[in-house]
Amino acid sequence: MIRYTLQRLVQSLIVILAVVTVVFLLVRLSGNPAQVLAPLGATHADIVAIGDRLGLQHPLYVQYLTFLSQIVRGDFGTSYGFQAPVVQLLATALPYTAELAFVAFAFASIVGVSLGTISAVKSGTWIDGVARFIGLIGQSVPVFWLGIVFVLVFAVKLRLLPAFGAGGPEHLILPALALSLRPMASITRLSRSATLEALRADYTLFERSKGVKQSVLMRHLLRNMSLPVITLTGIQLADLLSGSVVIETLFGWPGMGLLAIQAINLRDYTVVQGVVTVDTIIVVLMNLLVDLSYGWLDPRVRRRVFA
Amino acid sequence: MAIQPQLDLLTDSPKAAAVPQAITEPGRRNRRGHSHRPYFSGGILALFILAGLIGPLIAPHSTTHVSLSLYLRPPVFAGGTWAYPLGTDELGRDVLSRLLGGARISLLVGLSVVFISGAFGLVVAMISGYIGGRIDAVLMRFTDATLAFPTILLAIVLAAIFGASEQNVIIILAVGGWASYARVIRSEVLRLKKQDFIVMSVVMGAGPLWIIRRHLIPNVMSTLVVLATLQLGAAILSEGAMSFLGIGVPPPAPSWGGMLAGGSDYLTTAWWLALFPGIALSLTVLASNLMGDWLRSRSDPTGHR
Repeated sequence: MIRYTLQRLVQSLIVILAVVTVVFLLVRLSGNPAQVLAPLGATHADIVAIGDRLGLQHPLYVQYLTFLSQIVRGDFGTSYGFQAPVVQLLATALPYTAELAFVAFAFASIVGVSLGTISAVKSGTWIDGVARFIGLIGQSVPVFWLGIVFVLVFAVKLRLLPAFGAGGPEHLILPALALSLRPMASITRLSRSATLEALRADYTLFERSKGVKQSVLMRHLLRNMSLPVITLTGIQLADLLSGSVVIETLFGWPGMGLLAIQAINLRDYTVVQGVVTVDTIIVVLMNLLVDLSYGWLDPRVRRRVFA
Repeated sequence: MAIQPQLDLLTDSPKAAAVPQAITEPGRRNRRGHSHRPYFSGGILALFILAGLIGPLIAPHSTTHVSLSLYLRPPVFAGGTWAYPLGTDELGRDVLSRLLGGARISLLVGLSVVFISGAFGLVVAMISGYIGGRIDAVLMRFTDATLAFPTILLAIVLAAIFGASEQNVIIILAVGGWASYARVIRSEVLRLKKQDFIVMSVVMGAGPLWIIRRHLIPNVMSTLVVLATLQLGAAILSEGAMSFLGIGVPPPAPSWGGMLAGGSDYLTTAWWLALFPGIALSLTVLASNLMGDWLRSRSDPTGHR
């Protein structure tokens, strides 16, 4: 177990290092990195000053090592566009994205798992129809369009909920709802098929023939269907993060996604670099947690992988 | 948005190697509508491809010509005229013509991404699946990392450094899109290469390239087509999202995502600006997903591989 954990940890670090390296190299590929990092309307002297800070006069590997040591120390540089240290901007934005993603994902999981399980048990009924409809729509309708429709209906026509910015819990409802649809669709589809599979398994037939209580049977079913659903969670996180960039921009939600898009419009690459690095670390760590949770959920995996 | 087709649509989970139970979709073959011919999705896709091919030729107006005196005309069923059946936008451009122009962008981006990432994914799958061993392990780690990485971050970085362009959109989506092909087709290859006809070919002295060309590629073709159909929808959706964010196809090109972004500023006064591109996008993606589902259920009567 410890060996497997360490192995996965090292792999995760390699992925993070690779992404950071690509981010570093891409700026250098663009020609003059100081030009890219300079704000709009920077003077020639400004650009030279930025070049000095980056250490452009040194060979590439020295620049790379300096860059790495800065990142490890949490120093992402200073944003010219926002007039603030990047790390401070990230620290302000991160909780907003986390809140939005967490609420959206929790909602998607609760609805998706319940709907998927019920629709498998009651296969062919109207609930099954609803589940399939959500599964189909959720993967086809663009989240940004869904968000626009939500704004149009709930904010503009019905005037029930605010459409823009952050504030009380009511500000969270529309963006979280819009963001949750896509993961909800995947979770519903997968829960449905995993439950159908569990229902057909030999142990279910055996328990039924023994007359095991419905509640006990359900517990066994849920445990067996949870593995594929958890597997999906890690992949969904990447999807959720992508979706949140779009949703945050649409709803003016001050998270990491909006920060990145604003930074692009200000041509503030320092901020973009910080957002991408932090997002990558989050995604990689979450995937690590998902992988490690298999063993906890399924003793068979523990024996096979951790042996 | 996702650059990959949603993973639960694929027969193989990217994590299947770590999990002993393969994630199959046993209920899928029973799904309603799969026995029918896909008239709805086929019709929409045909319409979409037609619009992409000849749309700009039959469009009544220019897609980019600005005439401020014509701005925000409503569609014909909401008090507009037949000269501009779906109304005009904030710069007086014809919405219908721009929708047709947008179909060409979506089609071009979608097909390019599918072609490039499909070809690359196929090559990786063949190397990984047929040769196996250490190369396989390294390639599959790389594939997993690509699958787990949010492609939009790459899009943001490239847009920040090199600026947005249609070409960059295709590159980004292809870089993010090959991995699902590699994953799924590799598992096909692993299954195929143990089968008698391939084992016999090896015994009879066939080389790896010959086996790949004559046996493996024809046998994974149906899987490839299913994945490509699903990815077409995913790529169009992603292009829409990127253009919506302003890091995709730059204006004034009539991309559906860009039209939506422009329209979202006029929700209270000109709802049609956001409505029509959204419908076009949703229907095209829906049709491509339905078609992919249908193709899979047809190519695989048992419901799982």
